[in-house]
Amino acid sequence: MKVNPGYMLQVIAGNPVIVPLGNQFQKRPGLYRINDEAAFLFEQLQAGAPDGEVIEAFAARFGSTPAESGAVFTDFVDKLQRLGIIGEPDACSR
Amino acid sequence: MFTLSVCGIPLEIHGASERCRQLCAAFIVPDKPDAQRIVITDADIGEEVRRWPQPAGDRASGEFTLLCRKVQKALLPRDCLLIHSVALDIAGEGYLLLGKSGIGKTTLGRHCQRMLPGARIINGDKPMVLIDGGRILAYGTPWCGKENLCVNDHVAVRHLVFLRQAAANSRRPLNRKESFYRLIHQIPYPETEPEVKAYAALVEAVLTHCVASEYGCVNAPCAAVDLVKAWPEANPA
Repeated sequence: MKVNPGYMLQVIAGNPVIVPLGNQFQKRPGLYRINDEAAFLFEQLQAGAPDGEVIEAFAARFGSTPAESGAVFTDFVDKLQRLGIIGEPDACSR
Repeated sequence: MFTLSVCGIPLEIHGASERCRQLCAAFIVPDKPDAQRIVITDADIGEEVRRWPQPAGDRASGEFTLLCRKVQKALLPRDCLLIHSVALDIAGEGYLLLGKSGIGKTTLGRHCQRMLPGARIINGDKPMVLIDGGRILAYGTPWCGKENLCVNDHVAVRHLVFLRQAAANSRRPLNRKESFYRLIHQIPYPETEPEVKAYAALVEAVLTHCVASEYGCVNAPCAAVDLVKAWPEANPA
């Protein structure tokens, strides 16, 4: 999965948010509040890590099982897709 | 052309209509050589009206709103945030009354003016807040709501008061996270990376230096009296 251009992660007063910029802002202005786990996933996705690596890194960081990490990842990606923050998987990242 | 002073910062406004100039009259100052230049064009106004629908083709409102947005963007890198609120000065102590439109911010501000000695509304809708080191200063602006409640002055803000309507007056302190989630919806969202960085630093400063509470209150003069009674000392962790 790949984060579409025009989104940035910012921590404000200890609270992570996803901020749409430029054209994305014009389409849907606002700030998306996320928790620390989601911020970790977003950073990994934005860095272009393959899904499997993101899930492994999440499990290592938060001490969850691969199944739990996979479920969290899938849920977060679904939400980002619904918001148009990530698009279809890039063939190169599979 | 005219020169507007907001937060003590001179802004040279070009292309604005006479109507716009009149609405800004209380904040116009003599021309200054170091003023930052802001240009209003017909194309900008047309875009603004399309973007944020104004009352029935009201181009003048669109222009005034556009000027507000341009001023807010010009002042963000100069440590200023436009915060949708009523800025209240109660005997030298500053309060920002915050909440959705129609929640009663102006009404409570008016109760305070009537009931509390030394109370006055600095701005009834969009004060500009200057973060000056550890001081949070709320300044009057021309954008002060339908009731035109504004003075060209400022007050040091200590309290962020998020309002809700209630059957009895009660207040509770808000922690940093609760305050943050409420505050961000009262400030125009940033739309470029430098704006996001500036916005983040300024919001953090406001939350650090102000005490935040949720105040459930009735629409009656006693709400003003209870507002200033037994205020919490600090944000809980």
